[in-house]
Order: sequence, then structure tokens, then C-alpha cells
Amino acid sequence: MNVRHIATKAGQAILTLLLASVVVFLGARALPGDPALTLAGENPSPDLIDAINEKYGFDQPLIVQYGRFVLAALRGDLGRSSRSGLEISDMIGQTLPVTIQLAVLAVGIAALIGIVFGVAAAYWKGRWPEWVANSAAIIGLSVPSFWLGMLAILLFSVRLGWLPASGYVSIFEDPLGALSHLIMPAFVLSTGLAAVVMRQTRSGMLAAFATEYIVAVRAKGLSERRVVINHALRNSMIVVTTIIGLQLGALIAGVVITERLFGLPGFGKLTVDAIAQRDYAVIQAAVLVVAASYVLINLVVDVLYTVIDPRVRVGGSQ
Amino acid sequence: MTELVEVEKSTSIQYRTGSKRAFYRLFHNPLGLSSAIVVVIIVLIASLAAVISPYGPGDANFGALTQRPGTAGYLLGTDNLGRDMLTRTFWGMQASLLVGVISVLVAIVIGVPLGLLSGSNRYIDAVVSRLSDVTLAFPALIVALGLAAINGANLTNAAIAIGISYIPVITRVVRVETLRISALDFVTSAKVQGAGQYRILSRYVLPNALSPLIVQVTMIIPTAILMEAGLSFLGLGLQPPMPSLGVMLAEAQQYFTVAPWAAVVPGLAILLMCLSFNILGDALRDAHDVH
Amino acid sequence: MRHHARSTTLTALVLVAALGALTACSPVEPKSPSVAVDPGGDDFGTVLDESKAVKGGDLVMGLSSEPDTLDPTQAGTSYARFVLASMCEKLYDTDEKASIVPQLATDLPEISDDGLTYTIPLRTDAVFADGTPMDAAAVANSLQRAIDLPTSKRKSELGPISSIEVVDESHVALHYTAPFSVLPAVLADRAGMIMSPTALKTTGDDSFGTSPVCVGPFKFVSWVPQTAISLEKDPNYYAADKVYLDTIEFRLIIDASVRGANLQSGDIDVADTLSTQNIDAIAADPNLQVLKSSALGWRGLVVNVANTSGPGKPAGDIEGDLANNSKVREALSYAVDREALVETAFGGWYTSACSPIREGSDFATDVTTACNEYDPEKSKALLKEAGVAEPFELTILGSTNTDTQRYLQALQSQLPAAGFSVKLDPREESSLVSQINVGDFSVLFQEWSGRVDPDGNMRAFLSTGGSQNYSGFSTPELDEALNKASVTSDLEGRKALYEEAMSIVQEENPLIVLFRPRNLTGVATGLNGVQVFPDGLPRLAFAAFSE
Repeated sequence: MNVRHIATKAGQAILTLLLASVVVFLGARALPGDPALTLAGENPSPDLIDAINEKYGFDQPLIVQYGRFVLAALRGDLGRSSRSGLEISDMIGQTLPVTIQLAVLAVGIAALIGIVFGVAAAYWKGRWPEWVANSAAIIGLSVPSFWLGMLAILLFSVRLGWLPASGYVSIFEDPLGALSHLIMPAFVLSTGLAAVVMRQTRSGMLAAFATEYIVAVRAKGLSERRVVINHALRNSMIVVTTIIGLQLGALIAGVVITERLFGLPGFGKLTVDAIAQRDYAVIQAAVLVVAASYVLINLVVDVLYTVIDPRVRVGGSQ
Repeated sequence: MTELVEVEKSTSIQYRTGSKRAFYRLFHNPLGLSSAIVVVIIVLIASLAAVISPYGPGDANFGALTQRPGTAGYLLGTDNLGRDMLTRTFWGMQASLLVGVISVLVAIVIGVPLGLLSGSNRYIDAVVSRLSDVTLAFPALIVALGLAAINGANLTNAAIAIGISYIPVITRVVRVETLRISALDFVTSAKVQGAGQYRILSRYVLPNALSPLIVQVTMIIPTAILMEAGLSFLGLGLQPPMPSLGVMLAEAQQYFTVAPWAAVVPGLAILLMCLSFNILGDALRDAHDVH
Repeated sequence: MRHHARSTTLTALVLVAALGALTACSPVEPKSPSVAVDPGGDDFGTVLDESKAVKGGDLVMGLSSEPDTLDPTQAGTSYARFVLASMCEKLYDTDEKASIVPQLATDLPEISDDGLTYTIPLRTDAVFADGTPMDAAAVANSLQRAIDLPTSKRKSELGPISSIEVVDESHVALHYTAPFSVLPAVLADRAGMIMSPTALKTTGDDSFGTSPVCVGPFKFVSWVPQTAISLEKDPNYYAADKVYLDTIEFRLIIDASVRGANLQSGDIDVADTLSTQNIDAIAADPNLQVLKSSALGWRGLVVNVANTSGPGKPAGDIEGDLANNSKVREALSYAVDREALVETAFGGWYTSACSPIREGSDFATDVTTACNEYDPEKSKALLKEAGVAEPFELTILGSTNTDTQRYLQALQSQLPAAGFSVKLDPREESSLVSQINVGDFSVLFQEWSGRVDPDGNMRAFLSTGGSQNYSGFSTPELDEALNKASVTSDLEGRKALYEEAMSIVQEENPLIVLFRPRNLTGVATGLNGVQVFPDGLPRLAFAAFSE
């Protein structure tokens, strides 16, 4: 592990995060619609609007507002929602776990399906498992996930009554119930990802099978199965790690849509609602969390990459 | 749902433009050929929607609400306002395809020059990398929401937001090609003979970068179509009464338990469009890198 | 791989086609082919039949939208009212006829001879959920907060109030600078919700809304953002023996079809704002009951005639025939087929309307609810008379709400038959609010939630300088009629004034009312005593499960 390399990466991450915070801040302010007017509701009097402006500092110069925002964030105080008065850290604390559970489940399913199908496709190249896997993958890449979701709700909730159509229960309170609420959304979310994982796994395995290393290993008489599994595992970890890093953006979009479709009280919903309601404080905090997670996860992926596959030297260019 | 950009495995030199050979190989591949034909058909349908549709996209027959497919006069049925599903599907395909094309254009117009510059100059490269990282940190969805709020929730804004999110991908592809080709012997010798950077980029890099770029484009279009569907589902693609396939799905969500075809038809249309582009992209990629 | 490629595609396509055919060809909820469910007349629900009531039980209500805050002084959404209804009693309440009845007060206010002082007699047995007894000082404290708090949304509602006086332990007097006859109606909403002074002092102004304390059959327990708000029975309530339920949970279920589905599956007992798109199945379900009442508000088209810098600002110049030629606007009022539109867009569950005054209300007369019946020929003739080119082009600004967009799209396909061509401009709420506040629109589809008194549904929209007068319409005769009506207490007098007002509106058409939604609330039949009046508020506190 190259410490200097990690330090560079970390430094870049922090710089990115800082830039992102400025973008978030300015972006929120660029949204049209006077936040005071929106907060004031149906029958606003000029006094009410003035009072709201003063209370939240909407009329202060931008630099001052940004400064307040950054200082508070560093202290861990994300402020209060202008709309409900609830603490934003509470709101995020309530909604982020839902989204994380959903995302982890989806990534898990995608990894499982993708790796299994990918390995099968590579191993049985030229025979029927391969083209079943290939068809599934290409459909997975081409299908709108929320459409699948609607069909799933139609089948499993309305027709068969097996699974609930919406809602959420914490996994710590009721693991089985939580699973029943999350399994459809997670499956729906995992489709595109599973397809990508499958294709990458397959091509990686095929490339590996063709190398002299493998030919030599087989010649030595090692069990075929062990060769495959060994290589599969190694290869898959690389693949999945990289893909997670790259697909995060798409995953986040998918999460928002899935949460909307299945009525999950998650972080994606929180963000989208805040933007619609011009709740600046929540928008800033939420979008910053998104950007920060992206940067953090990519950093972790970069580091993991060097650990898993020391042959690859990632030096700022790929 | 971006395809991972595969690092070039080959090192063979192709200083003649590779696209001609690629297309040749493409047409001899049955899969590539059929998907290309389907893509052409889709593009034709989408462009000629105004001509081939039996009704107007906003024509509503209040006496024929939610008719099943196969009802007289309505091949694919009607929606909850009595509008013909077949007509709206054609127009929806046009809208979705337009979004795909516009986002690709946005990504290319900005991404290609950025990629060329990054591949040529280390300082520019550093700056562009940071900017790319920041861009990547904001998913297309958030950008689209912001644009929608500023400019109205319509398809052009959705397309621009999607395009912006693909700039880093295009930049990276072009950058890699620029670096790779610039390092080849014959380019180095051209430099020694006095060829300027501009000449190198336009004469050697661009023609060779065309193939991977085209492959990338055929991958971006379906994901742009899917993103548009998602954004419209969230209410960001409205331009009534012009439908987009995503808007049709969003509207269908209100009553699909009672009339499922309203959701199935646009979903299938999206699936078919994306499938054909993806298969074509695969075939193109296979045709391009038979090494 | 390539020689199997064809089979790959083939398999894929076959699978997809099969999936499509399967789901498309079998509707899951078979819609009755010939007869759609007849929406029928109003049903407010009935008072609890105590002989069948069982003590105890947990009620779960599916709530369609999250309250903004539970602080009565600052709450802006009607959903806040839904939750507060069970835990924060008000000085006055409305009954099924939308008349004012006392709740924490004991009678309607006594009005002084000069009409400037309103003395309210109060209950003496009310106790806040934290044990503090409610007295006149506590009431005065609450009302004062409504005026003093800078971010108070109630201040403008209370009108020209000058001071609040504690007369004695059980009487509070409000002093006004001008007569304000709608005061009881205002105190029958959030302004009249009395908050515990002890709680106000300890939690502070910002956080009262996150853990409110009032007088009510239930008290606040918790609010999990985006998920649920929970209340439990309050032993301190003055009529606690009339409360049968143990807890009430307001579960946030935003999607209307999901909310309906949860009701049908029994996961929730009550659901508000049922969607007209799939209410038929719920109405036909023997285990469910749909409570219906005509909402207080209205939906309609507002034409920008002089608004260039916002309501209340000086009039500006708007170009175009729509703004300047009242014949064009009159043509528009004849061009809309209101009946067909509510039938198409809402399955007939909402009612067409032509006036801000509700049919069946005390103020409804032939004149106040007069309508320009659908007449496309007349509309075209009027356009010709006005000398404008046909089809006349119109751009309608509306919110991105699904019901709104569906209705507007139906309107868009219907109007060409009468000589108009429509472009739609959907904007999300916040942007829309900004736009109309600078007059950046030509025609606005306005959605007004409604108030009990016609004054609340008309004056702000139609009088010069009215805070919601986005049209910029200004006529001294109309101003006079509306202003006089707001200070007159005599019903017949007010009716005559509103007739005068509506005649002007029907002639000039700055506002073309299109329809009035209905409050559609689904209730499980095992739950008795749930009532919903025209204000749309589900009254849950005195309901009970039956055996």
C-alpha cells in the first residue's frame, strides 16, 4: 500500500468536497422562487415575508450565508428545516438508514446475480447458460427499472398479495417485515447494476481463461473448479468494486425513483422534497451528503483497488 | 447505468481509420445487422410520428376513456383521457429519442474538446480531472431537478442535465485515446518532423478516436432514454400534451391497476428502443475490436 | 457466441412479449364494464353510536402529505390541521353545515355596541395536556403570540386587531379598530388553537411545533419525519370519558393509489384524499365506506388583466385581447364544458362549479351561483364580435400536480371546439408562486383550498389590492360590495351584496371558476363515528371500533 498515493487521493477528495459545497450552496440559491415566499404560504403579508427573511438570513450577503453554513456544518450542526423546524441531522438520521438498507440490499443482489451469471456465462461459453445470461443482461440494461417495479407491484402485491406495495419497517425492529418491504424495491434497483456486473465479470473471466497463466495452471493439473473459483473471486472483487464507484450516480437516481414508487421514507425522497419546497437548509445538507458519500466511496474504492490487485497501479489516470 | 469503459487491450497500430473495417465487420454479423435495421426503423418511426399517427397526440375522445387494446379504431387502446395509445407511443418515441440525441450532442460538444486538451497538456488535465470529479459527484438527477426549477420542467432541460452528466465519460474516452495515440511511434516521428499539436489531433487522434466514441454514443443513448423516463416519472419532463414515454408511465401509475396496458405499452417501447441500441453497441464494439 | 446471438435476441423478445401480453391482457381489478360507481350525494359520516362502541384500539390513518409544522401559529398546510384536529381544540369549530359552533369557548362572541370589541366566554374545565389549567390568561397568551410572533401566519387572518384583554378568569376580549364580522370563522381555524403557556415558555418559539401541547382528546407523542406522527389519549381532557381510542397514528402515504390499496388491505383504517382514478373499487368494497362532502374551495382560471408587479402593487399595463377585451373572456366562460371535464378527468366525483360560493351554503342564490352554460357557438360568435382571430391562443400556467395536469390536458383537448387553442405551462409550486407574484403569466389555473365564509373565498382574490388578486382586476363597485359584505353581520344583507358582486364577476370574467373538488375520505366499516365535514378535516377523536 502506497501511503503517499493514498494521501494524494485523500487530498483530491477534500478539494472536490470543498468545490462541491460551493456548488451546492450556489446551486440552491440559484433556484428561482423566493424561499421566503414559499415558506410564507397562501396569504403572505409583507411583514411575514420580512420576518422570515430576517430569521433565516436570506437577505444577508452570499459570503456570509456560505460562511455560516460551512462553520455550522463543521460543528456537525446541519441546522433546522425552515419548514418544520425539525433538526436536519434528525431528518437525515431517520431517512439515511432506509436508503442505505435499500442500496446495500440492491448492491448485494446485483453482485450475487451478476457474478453467478457472469461466471456461468464465461465457464460455459458457447452453450445455453451463456446465452440465457446474455439475454438477461442485455434486457437488464434496457429496461426502465420503475416499469419493472410497477409490474412487480401488480403481480406480487395486487394480484398475489404476497408482498406489501409500500411502506417501511426498520430491520432492527422486524427483520422479516423489513425484508418483505425492501425486497421488491431492491430487486428493481439492482437490475441495471446486475447486468453491468455480469458483463464485466464474464469478459474478465474470459480474458483470464485465455491467459497463459491459466493454461499453465491447468496443465499442472489443479482442479478445474478450484481454478475457476479462485479466479472468479479475485476478478469479481475488482469488478464489483470498480463498478460501484462508477455506477454510484446512476444508483442514486435509481434510489430516488424507487423510493418514490414504493413509498419508502428515504433520503432520496427527503432531498427531492426539499428541492421542491425550497428548503435551502435541507437541500444544502442533503446534496452535500450525496456528494460527500460519492467522494468517500470513490476514495475507498481507489484504495481497495490497490489492495486487491497490486498489479494495477492507479496513478491518477486510468 | 453507464457501461464501464474497457481499457484497450490491444496495442496493434491502426493508423488507417478503423471505422471502415468496423462497419464491414458489422454488416456481416447477423445480430449487428438486425439491430441496425431495428434502430433505423425506430428512428424513422420517431421522425415521422406526425405523419404515421392516426390521431393527434392531444386528441381526446371523452367517450372512449381507458379502452383496451384492440378496441375499434384504437390499436393499442386509449388512456384515461381518451387519447390513442398508438399515437402517443409514436410521439413518445420521438421525444425519448430527441432527448437521447440532445444529451449526446451536449456531451460530445463539450467532452471531445476537453478530452483532446486533457490528453495534450498536463496542467489542463489536472484541472479538468478535478472538474470531472465534481461533476460526477452530482448525479444527473440533482442537476435535472435544479434545471427544472430554474427553467421549467421540460424535456430540453432534462436532456441538458443528462448530457452534462456524461461529459466526464466522453472526456475520459477521448483523453485515453489522445494519450494512447500520441505515444505511438509514427506520431512521435510526425512531431519530430514538425507537426503541430493541432495537426496531430485532427489528423491522427480524432479519426482513430471515432470508433470508440461511436461505441460510447450507442451506449449513452439508451441510458439517456432510461434517465429521461425516470426524470419524467418524477415530473420533470412535462410538455403537455406532447408525451414522452416517461410521462406516459408516470400518468399510467395513477390507474395502472385498473388499466395495465397504459403502463405496459410505453414500458415495452422503451425496452425495445434501448434493447436495439444496446445490441447495436455491442455489435459495433465487437466489430471494432477483433484483436 | 455469435451464432447463438440470434437466439439470444429471439429469446429476449419472446420473453418480453409474453410478459407484456400477460400483464396487459388481464386487468387486475376488473373494472365493471357497464356501470361506473355513481358518486352520489354528500355523506359526512355519523356520530358514534355508543351502544356498539368498544373501549380501546389503535387507529391508523393514511395521510396524503406531511404537515409543514405542528405549531398552530406557523402552520401553513391543511395537513397540519388534520393532525392538530385531534390534539389542539380551538375556540370555535365548524359543523356539517359549515356553521360556527363553540368548542373551547362556550358561546359565540358578544359584540359591543360599536362593533369593535368581541368578548369570548371560555370553558372553565379545560386542562392542557401538560396539566396546566386553561384560563383567560392562557388564551390571551396564545392569541397574542399569533400577533406578535414575526413568522406568524395567523396575523393577517386576524384582521385589524388592536389589543387583547383579559376581562376575568373566563372571559377574553379582542379589541378591533374596525368591525371584523368574520372573527368567529377565523377562530375556528388555527388562529383559535390555544397552546399551553408553560410549554411555550419551555420549548421556545422555534421548537414548539416539534412537540406541541394543547387542550385536546389526544396528546402528542412523537413525529418521525417522513414516516408517521403518533398521538395518545390525554387523561387531562375535560371529556375524556367520551374518548374510546387509545392511540392515533398518522402514517404518511403520499401516493394515492398506494393509500387506497392500504385501505383495502386493512393496513390502515382511514385514508384522506382518495384518488378519483381508482376510487370506484373502494366505493364498491363492502368493508369500506367513502365519506364525501363538497370542499370549501374552488379551482378556476384567473386572467391577468393588470398584474405586472404582484398583488397589492399598482396596476400595470397588460397587452393583448384577453386582458383588455372582456368579450374574449366572456367567450372563454362559454367555451368550457365544465360537466364533461369533471366527468372525464375525475370520473364525475368532483362537481362542476361556476362561482366561489358553494351550492347549498347559506349564501347560495340563483344569482350568486349563476353559470354561463357550455355553448361553443356562442363562444365563437363572441370571439368574432370581439374581432379577434380564431382560434384564439391561450397559455395556461398551472402546478405540476397530477390532478391539475390531467384536468388541464382534458381542457386543452376540449377548447378547440369552441374557438380556443391552448398551450400549457406546468410549473412546480415554488416557481409558480414566484411567477404569479410578478405577474409573469397570462392565464393561471388557481387552486384555492377554501374558507368557511364567502369573504375568505372572494375578497382577497377580487378586490383591489387583495393579497391573492393575481388578476389585478379592480372595480370600485366590486370593492364596495365585497368590503361591505365583510363587515355586515346580517345574512340577508350579505346575500344581496354578494349577488351584486357576482353579477359584476360574471360580466367581466377576471375569474372563471371551473369546478369544486370533493373531500373523499375512505373509512373502514369496523370504525364508527368518523366524520368529515366540508372543511375536509377527518374528525377521528371520538370514533371507536365496534364489536
